[in-house]
Amino acid sequence: MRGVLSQSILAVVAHAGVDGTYGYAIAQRLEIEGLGKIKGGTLYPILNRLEEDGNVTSWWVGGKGGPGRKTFAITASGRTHLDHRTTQWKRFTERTTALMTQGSTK
Amino acid sequence: MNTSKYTGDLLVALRLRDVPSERIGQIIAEVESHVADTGEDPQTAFGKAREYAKAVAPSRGDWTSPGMLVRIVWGAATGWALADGTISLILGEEAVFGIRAWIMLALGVLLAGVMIAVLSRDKDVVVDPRSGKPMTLATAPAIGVVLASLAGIAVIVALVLRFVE
Repeated sequence: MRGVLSQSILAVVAHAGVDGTYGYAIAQRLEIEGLGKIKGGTLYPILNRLEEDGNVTSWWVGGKGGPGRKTFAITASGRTHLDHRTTQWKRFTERTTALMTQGSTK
Repeated sequence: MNTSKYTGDLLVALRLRDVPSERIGQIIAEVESHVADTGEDPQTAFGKAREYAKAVAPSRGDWTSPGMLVRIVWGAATGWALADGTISLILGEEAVFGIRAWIMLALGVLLAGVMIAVLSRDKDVVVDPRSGKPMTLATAPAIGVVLASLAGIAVIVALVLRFVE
């Protein structure tokens, strides 16, 4: 499930494009999309890992009087990674849905 | 929990995991800015400082890692050599294992010198990435202070053992 969450977060960051997005906004987006409330303690290690892997890049905006916010944006290799994982996920969910539908009376 | 108390605890936990100062600055700034945005209690949002340090710096060891154990043993050995050497010199006796007092003292000085050289290599100042200025954090002992304390304990133990004989 951790992998799915990481991909979901990457997708939210991807959606923000070049301008990027920040932690609180990502958490809000995930909640709106029905993925529940994510805590900072879960979110940031994932974002940091995504950055370590080269899938996102980050920079600080503001500070020096105003509140500084760490902004995250997807990288080119991050997009490739996301596209690949999205295809895999679609295939996986199609197959499991088909399987479950066969066995289910619904 | 008060945010600066939390970040103070987090600093200690990260230092114990040997996280580089630059990374520490990033981690603490993230916590501060997220808490400012959400208005949440930092411990509720990030978990206990020690646990968050583990989550955010997983590849780093803690007190039980080999690197840390080496430092603990080194600190203790330094304290012992300095104490035993000094006392033996004052009493005009030999140090442990029949080593000459001044040799033991010289060994202690050498061990201390190496320790200081290695520790001062680490940039101990944590810089806030938002401002580029040093972070003002609730006091937390740097590794050097922790090791000096261990050396101090070793000194006391050496003294006690010497005078008990």
